[in-house]
Amino acid sequence: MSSEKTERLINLTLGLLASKRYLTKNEIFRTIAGYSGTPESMERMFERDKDELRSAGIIIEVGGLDPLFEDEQGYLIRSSQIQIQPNDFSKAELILMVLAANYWSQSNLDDSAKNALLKIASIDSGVTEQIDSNNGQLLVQNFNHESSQIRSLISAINSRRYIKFTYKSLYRMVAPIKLENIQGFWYLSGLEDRWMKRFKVIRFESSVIVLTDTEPFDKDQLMKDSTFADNSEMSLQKLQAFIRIGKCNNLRKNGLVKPHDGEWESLELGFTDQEQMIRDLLWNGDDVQVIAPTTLKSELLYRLQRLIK
Amino acid sequence: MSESAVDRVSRALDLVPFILENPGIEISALAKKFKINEKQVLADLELIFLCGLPGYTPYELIDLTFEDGLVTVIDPQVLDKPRLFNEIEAVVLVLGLSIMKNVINDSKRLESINNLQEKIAAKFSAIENISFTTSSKPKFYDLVSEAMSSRRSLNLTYSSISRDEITQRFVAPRSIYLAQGNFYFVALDRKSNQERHFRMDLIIDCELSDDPGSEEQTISEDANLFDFRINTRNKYLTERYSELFTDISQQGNSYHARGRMNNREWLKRLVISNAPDIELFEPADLKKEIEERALRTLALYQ
Repeated sequence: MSSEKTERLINLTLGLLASKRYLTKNEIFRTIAGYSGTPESMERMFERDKDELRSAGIIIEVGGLDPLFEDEQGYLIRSSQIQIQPNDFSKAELILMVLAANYWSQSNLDDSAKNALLKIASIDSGVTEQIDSNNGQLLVQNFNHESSQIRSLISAINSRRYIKFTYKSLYRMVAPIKLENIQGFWYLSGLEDRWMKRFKVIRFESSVIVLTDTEPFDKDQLMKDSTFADNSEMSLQKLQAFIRIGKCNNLRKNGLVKPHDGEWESLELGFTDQEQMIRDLLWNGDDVQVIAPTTLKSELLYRLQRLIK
Repeated sequence: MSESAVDRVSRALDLVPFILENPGIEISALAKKFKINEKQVLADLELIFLCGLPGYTPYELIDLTFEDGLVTVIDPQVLDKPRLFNEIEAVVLVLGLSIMKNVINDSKRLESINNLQEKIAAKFSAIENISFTTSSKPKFYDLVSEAMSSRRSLNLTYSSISRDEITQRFVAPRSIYLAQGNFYFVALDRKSNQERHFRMDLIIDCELSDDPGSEEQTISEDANLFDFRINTRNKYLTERYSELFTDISQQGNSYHARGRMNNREWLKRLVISNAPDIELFEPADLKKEIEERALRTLALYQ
């Protein structure tokens, strides 16, 4: 790591942020500390610096200085595009944000929540000091996913970049459209070729690679040309089973229960996630007997056999 | 791994406004807040001290003092405001506010939260495509919160999932959490004197007791040692139950996990419901009980 380069990047940010007008490259090379060498080397240095600052979320605006000379471009950073302004949030809103960020203090999104809290403490330190602990507050625990995976997906959705990952042993290239957390699990909806599919993030078999070196995709055009894939993993199925009277409380509370005989009741229950359904049925052991679907019944019996040595 | 220049730039842009709002802050506190060591804080401050606006005279440089372990910004130049929330921070805030909407009762506050969510989301088009759904607020959520804040106990009629039966419990709630979309609370079971986790939507009835929840009760150490193997396909189990494990290591396609658990019935059901991705090695007698239950279940289909 070069301190000189870091110093130059900070000086460039400050210089462009302080300027009230677009600065040309020549003005930048002449006035911002750290640029030296031949015009070509300064040019290369500046191009790399711009890319690096942009990768950190610093928006550098490019604008023409004179409408008659289009090739004379200038550069500027607007405070409103990179800094929180004094009147952006009221004190009541800052308090709400601190409470919202504190929810995540035991989850794997804690790092991002803490960074948000640092920024709130830079606006009004009193607010974060007032509500510095989770005394009595609700906490989101775990999150079942590696935070880096979720961060990559959010970033790709925001920047409309294609992503690559392995899912069900296949290498996929997907245009990510939507990320939903349902009952603690994240689901990604995205376009693979022209098919809109839904992927359960916990079942990703590799890290997500965001393709930053390709052009952003045109979401509206892709959506117009897309077709919804039948994702059997999430399609609605109906469970038919017998459950022992007074047992299987986790199943009966969401299903339709009818009397059957002196020992058993019949149960009908809709479900979308077969894997979760199998776990719920196994949880109840010999207090439940599955009638249908037969594929689910076969899988259940297979798993029970595996428990016996 | 060495840090990139752009990571240091980002931190410098965050450090200056933070110190400006927190004058006289200790270097050790800064290190803790920014999750770096004190040496790195000093290196950052020395670097920031050399930066400023074109001209670079003392009037144009960022001016700060860091003596006797205390730091103050005298002149931040244009770094007088924090950076905007990045996309992940914005998502965390907006989703946190969604959870808050689920548990509050005040309609005026609800409107403020909606407005705030819109304000944060305005700069990030992705946020409208990211959602977080939880169960609806459980019926007894407010009563559990009240018991916790007033340090009182609760009489519960509870549908226990692990025992699959309705039980009467006398508990002192300690904390509330959200996991897998469900609301839970941790409480001291006053009868067994052990810590227990309760899912709020499984409470059938609940009332506040006048008996204050004692702070002096101790948690029993009467717990079974367990030892099992989890297939990496079900990695989420290692995260979901991470608080139970005292030791976990990866061996090829599986994780080897050890820990303590005082609820044998729960442990038994956990292994059966995740078969064959969890294999139990210890306790041996529990392993035998699991096999017996699997045999009884298979017998239903013969």
